Amino acid sequence: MSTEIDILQVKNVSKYFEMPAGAKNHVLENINLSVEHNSQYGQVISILAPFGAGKSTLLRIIAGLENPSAGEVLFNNVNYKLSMQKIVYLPEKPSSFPWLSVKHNLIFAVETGLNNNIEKNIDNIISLLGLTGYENHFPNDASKGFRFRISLARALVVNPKFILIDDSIRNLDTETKKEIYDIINLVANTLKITFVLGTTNISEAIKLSDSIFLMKKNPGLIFHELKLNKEPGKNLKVRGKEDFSSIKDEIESLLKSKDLAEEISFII
Amino acid sequence: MISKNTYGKKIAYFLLSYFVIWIVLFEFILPSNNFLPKPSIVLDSFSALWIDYHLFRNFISSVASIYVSIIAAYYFLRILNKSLINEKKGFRNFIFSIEWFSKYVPGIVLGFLLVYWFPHSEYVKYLFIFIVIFNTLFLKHMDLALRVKQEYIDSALSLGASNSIIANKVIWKSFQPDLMNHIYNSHIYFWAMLIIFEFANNGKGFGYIFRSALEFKDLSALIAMILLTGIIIFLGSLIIKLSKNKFFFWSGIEH
Repeated sequence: MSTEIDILQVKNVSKYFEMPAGAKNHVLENINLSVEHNSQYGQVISILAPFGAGKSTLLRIIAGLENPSAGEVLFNNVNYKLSMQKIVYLPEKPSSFPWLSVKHNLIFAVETGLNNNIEKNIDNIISLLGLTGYENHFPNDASKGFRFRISLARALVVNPKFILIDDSIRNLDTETKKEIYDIINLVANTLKITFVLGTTNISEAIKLSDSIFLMKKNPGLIFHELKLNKEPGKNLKVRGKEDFSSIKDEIESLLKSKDLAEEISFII
Repeated sequence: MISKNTYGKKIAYFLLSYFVIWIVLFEFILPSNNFLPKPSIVLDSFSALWIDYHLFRNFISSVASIYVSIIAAYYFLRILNKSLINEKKGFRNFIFSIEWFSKYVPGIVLGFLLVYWFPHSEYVKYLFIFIVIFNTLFLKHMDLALRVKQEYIDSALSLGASNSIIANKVIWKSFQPDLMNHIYNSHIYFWAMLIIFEFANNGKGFGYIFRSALEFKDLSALIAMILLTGIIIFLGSLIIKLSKNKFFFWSGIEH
């Protein structure tokens, strides 16, 4: 089977908002990052940053929902457009449509699709995400975790290369978080999807990620990339306690050396 | 905190109490007075309403003009939805002009002009009430469309949905419960406008019966019509509320 590599590049992206009296509020400053998607394996990349660092703005710019003030987002060296359907964004709040049943939420994605062949994938996706038997249920009847699964399932229908998760897991309870971590790993391993996870939770970032981009605020900028998975292609799994502690120590010492320890909220 | 259900029950008990007081006071204690008729005479006057005031014909005329206009205005708005959401600058100014006009000039003024130009016309009555309802829904639409939850729009855009799909399948759907609530809340206003128009137009409908009862100084017919109008508006509101709860059960906008 041939290997396809897709490259997502964020080049010199800055974002500022005009303030009264002509001042500018710089949210993002000269962000550069490059993420590869390999058709042979899935991976999880985290952007770990404190609240208000501009993670959501950065993810929205990558997804094509917002224009940067400067710089560009390239997908395989071409400016990324929403109509390409290669990058799907999952907002922080539950985004499954409450007026549609689970199955019709997925069919909605088919209707936006570039071709109709993706419809046959719906049953497989429903089965993979454990939604079998709930096809006719409505999202409002369900928990936040269930609604997240519906949003993720709907995202998978368009067969994306990258899925951006904007801190959607933060407000879930511990049990549901574990369930969602397993689902993200399962989807990454099975469907070879690259997840980009915006998070304030160092524990979440360490447990899930192949690599972590560390970001500071005022203005938001990425100052370090930490590669955690030395063996790309090896099946992802949630990290155990031993790995966790050593990585956490490494991140903490890195933050201290940069005088940024106060900026990251440690929610372990 | 008092729940809406308890509040509704309290109101119902109060109304029932007024009704009982009216029966006891005006049927038995003060049967002859100049304020309110005896309940038994009001009961008798229902048959007079049916025969002398052509209640059935006028009932059909009023009820049809209200509910046909609500349905027509709703579907017309549905057709215009995409254009309203993806509005152009000129269109936006047109909307603001309507909003400004209806803020300071009551709709019934237009009704009086129509009565002057087309006296006794049934078709013009339909047109008038349609304009009143459509204008109300249209202005509400403009407000609600701006308050749709951003996460729904973002996720649809991210899936590659076109502006047309987002307008018709995301934004329109998101605010349906609130649009239905607005119809429910405005229901009595629609009836008030219709009755005033019919009263002035002197054609058909409940307004015509009210006018005739006043001209004949028929107090019992007037009271009977007030009771009947109240019951019909209550039933209409109940049907709208039940439909809203059954078919539009979600919340899709920022409150």
